[in-house]
Amino acid sequence: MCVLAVMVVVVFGGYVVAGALSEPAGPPVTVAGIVRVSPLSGWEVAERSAAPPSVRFTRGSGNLDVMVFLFSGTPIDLAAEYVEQALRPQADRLEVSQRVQVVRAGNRSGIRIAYIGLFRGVQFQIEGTVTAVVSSSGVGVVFDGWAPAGLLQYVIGDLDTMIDTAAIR
Amino acid sequence: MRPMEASPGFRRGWGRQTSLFQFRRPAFWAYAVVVGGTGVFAVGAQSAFRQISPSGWALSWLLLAIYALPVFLAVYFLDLYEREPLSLVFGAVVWGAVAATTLAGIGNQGWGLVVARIGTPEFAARWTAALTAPFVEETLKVIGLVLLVLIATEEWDDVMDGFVYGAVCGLGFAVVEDVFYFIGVFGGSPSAVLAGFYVRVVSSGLYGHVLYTALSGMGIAYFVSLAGEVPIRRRVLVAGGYSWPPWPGTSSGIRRGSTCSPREWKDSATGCSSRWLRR
Repeated sequence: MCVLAVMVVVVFGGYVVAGALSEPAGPPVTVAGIVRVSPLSGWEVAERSAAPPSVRFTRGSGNLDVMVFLFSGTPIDLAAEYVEQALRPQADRLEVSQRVQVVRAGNRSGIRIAYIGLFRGVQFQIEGTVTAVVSSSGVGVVFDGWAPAGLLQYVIGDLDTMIDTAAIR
Repeated sequence: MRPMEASPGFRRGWGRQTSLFQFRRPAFWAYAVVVGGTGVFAVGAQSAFRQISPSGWALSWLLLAIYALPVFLAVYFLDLYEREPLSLVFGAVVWGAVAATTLAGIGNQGWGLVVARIGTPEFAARWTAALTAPFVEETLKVIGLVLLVLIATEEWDDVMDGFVYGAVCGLGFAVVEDVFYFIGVFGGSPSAVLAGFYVRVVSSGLYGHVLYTALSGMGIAYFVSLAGEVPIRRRVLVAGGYSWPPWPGTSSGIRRGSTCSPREWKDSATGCSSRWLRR
């Protein structure tokens, strides 16, 4: 019994400790009055933009872009449009996962796809996930969490938490 | 008393053979459940590697067979006094290859998140392998050895037995871990596998995991086989001494950390300043 307990602590303890260390810090940040994100400790607002309304959060080389669009399609359409109109034009090479994951984003259901690519002006590959949510009022919200290839695994927990706890109007 | 029992160094249980399959012992069922559960993931991983690069995957196993078989035979046959039951020896190999590797993958990821939380993602990417992998991996391999002790205590007669079980457990771990690195990190093409074999096996020292887990096994065997003959405090100290070398930041971890591509780290460092160029 003791042996199995040690095994459980070694295998799963890291997730518990990491979760305990990931506390919301600072006031929530609102994007266009539509989506409210609570940054975790260590994350800060790096950039704001008006067209489209967006905020970039950053922690080290981990980033989360939160954007709001007027959109009336499905979350899959929104994610596809974001990939084709925002990501692909900037990429020298871009691969997008075929697998579409249904996720919880704030108080709504959304979809998530993963991508990896080489973007112009950046010397290393970037990998990321695009989470798309569409509200019934015709507003689409895109969460693009990204980091240099190999580093995403170290911020994905924070990204998931911030997306999951976001409030979408 | 038989004459042999009066000879110095005699250990109770010598000459008897206990198999792995002790159905009445809870430890056996714990072992079976963990190996069975992790086996599903391990088979899935190997299947995925084979699909990614059939030739690279086959070459990986060929190279690692050449690397592993001699040491397995040497460890097994050089145990001249009383060879260990093959079911237990293979039980140790399977634990290292299947259970310890699969669980270590999960555990390393989790403790890597802790390192990333305390430091930064870049710090975690550079140092997680050195800071957490020795603790996670060595503990998981040792847990397998402890389960084998609980399954067949009679077979742990002296430190040599611990060396045998520990060495083959570490060997199983090293082989499966290296296949993961050859395909998942180095790229999986035959040339990448050869490069990975050179970096991880030839230039990093051939039998690190074998040595570390063998030492831990010797510590456990010392603790178990001398119960009643040596005070527990001394047994704990000696067993801890045997198990200590692989743990604290250690060549095992540093070696693993250093296998990451230097370019990746260079890019990662320059990326801090250039990431805003994206978009």
